[in-house]
This record gives sequence, C-alpha cells and structure tokens, in this order.
Amino acid sequence: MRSSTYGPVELHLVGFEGDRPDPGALAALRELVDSGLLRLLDLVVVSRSEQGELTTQEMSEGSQDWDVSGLEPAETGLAGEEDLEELAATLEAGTSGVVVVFELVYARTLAERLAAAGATVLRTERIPAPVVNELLRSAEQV
Amino acid sequence: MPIGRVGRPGLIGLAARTAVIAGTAQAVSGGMARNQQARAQQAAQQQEYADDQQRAQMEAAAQAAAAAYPPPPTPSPAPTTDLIGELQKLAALQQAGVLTDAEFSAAKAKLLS
Repeated sequence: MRSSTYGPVELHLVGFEGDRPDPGALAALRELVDSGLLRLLDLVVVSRSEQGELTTQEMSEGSQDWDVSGLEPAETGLAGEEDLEELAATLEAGTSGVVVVFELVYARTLAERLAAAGATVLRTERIPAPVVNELLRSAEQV
Repeated sequence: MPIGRVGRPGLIGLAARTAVIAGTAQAVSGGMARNQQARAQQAAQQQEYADDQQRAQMEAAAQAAAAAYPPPPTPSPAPTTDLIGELQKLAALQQAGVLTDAEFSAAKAKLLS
C-alpha cells in the first residue's frame, strides 16, 4: 500500500508550437506548484507526427533541453497510456503538447477540514469554464 | 517507484465508470477489480477459442488422415453361438434317435457353413 493519499486529480493537455514546451508555459506551471495550491504528479510530452503517429516522451528524457527545475512529478506514470491516447485524440498532426497531471491540494485540504468538522463532501461536479460563462451570458440577455 | 503507464486502466476511463467522486476508494478499487476480472475472462475466452481451434485442426487432420488411409475392413463379428456346443447337441439328438443321419448331416452342414 502507498503511504500517501491524494486528493482529486486533474489532467490537462496543453498544446504548444514546435516540438518542446514553451519556457513560459513551464514557468506558469511552476508558479502554481510553488503556490501550494497544486501538486505536480505527472508530466509527459505527447507529439503527433505529420503522418498522424502519436509518440510520448517522458519529461526526464528531455530535461537537458527543457528547464524543468522545480517541476519534479510526485507520481511519474500516473497518467496511463489509455489516458495519454484519449487526451491526445484532438492533437493535430505536426503539433505537440504536454500532459500535466496535478493534485488539487486545496480540495484535499478542504475535505480534511470538513471531515474534522464532522462534515463530508458527498459529491463534486466540475463544469468547464466555457459552459459557465455561456450560461451567465445567456442569462444576462433574458 | 514510478507506476507503469501501460497495461492498466487509465484515470479517465476509471473515473467515468465511477460516477460519484466522493468516497471513491471502494468504488475505484472495485473498478480495478472489475477490470482485472474482465481481462481474466477475456483471456479465458481467448484460451477457449485457441483450444477450439486446436481441436478443430486435430479433427481436420484426423479426417484427412482417414481419407488418405481407408480403414481396414471391419472384422466379421465373432460367432454368437457356441459352435461346438451346438454340434454336441446335434450329435446327442442323433444318438438319441431324434435326428436321422440325413437330418444330422444337413444340420451340421448348415451349422458349419
């Protein structure tokens, strides 16, 4: 058994130009990790060739080219091959992206606090931002 | 120790099969178990299929061999009646005068034919 338990986890596919992550994108990620709101669990680069073939590259393999200091994933391998394929399904030929897996540390903290107070999170739903914004916009127009 | 990316359910698929996120520990491990079970079943079915194929191949080979080498003629069934016993009965009947010599000879010839 693992000693650590995690809170909820999110997977993101961040697209970028060329064949390596933009330094600015990595810096943004690093800032969030440093804030303590998120914990980086896994980081994989996925690329789709012009022929449509998907390849994956571990962050550790490219670390000599990319500045990944301060970005040490806690659970390398957590994103399974199945996840990578599903996430990269929309990746266009000739483009690359980085799959970022992080734990929502604040959600775990909240759940722990609630549990200590005798309350329980029974259910959570995550609504994509475009849905929220579209709903609010259309509500204003009525 | 990093976990392997290959040969296990993905997070997305597993979460989709686990409708309620809160209190997931049991549901998730159940999902993992179901997945393993499904895989074991699949493996068993594949094995069965392979067995079937093997069996079919062996039967086909056996039929081909049978066609190439016609089976030897089936031996005639063993006489159901005890020949010597019957002859002895006939001889006894002749001696007792029940059967004439001609009748005995005819019966014996029939018996031996």
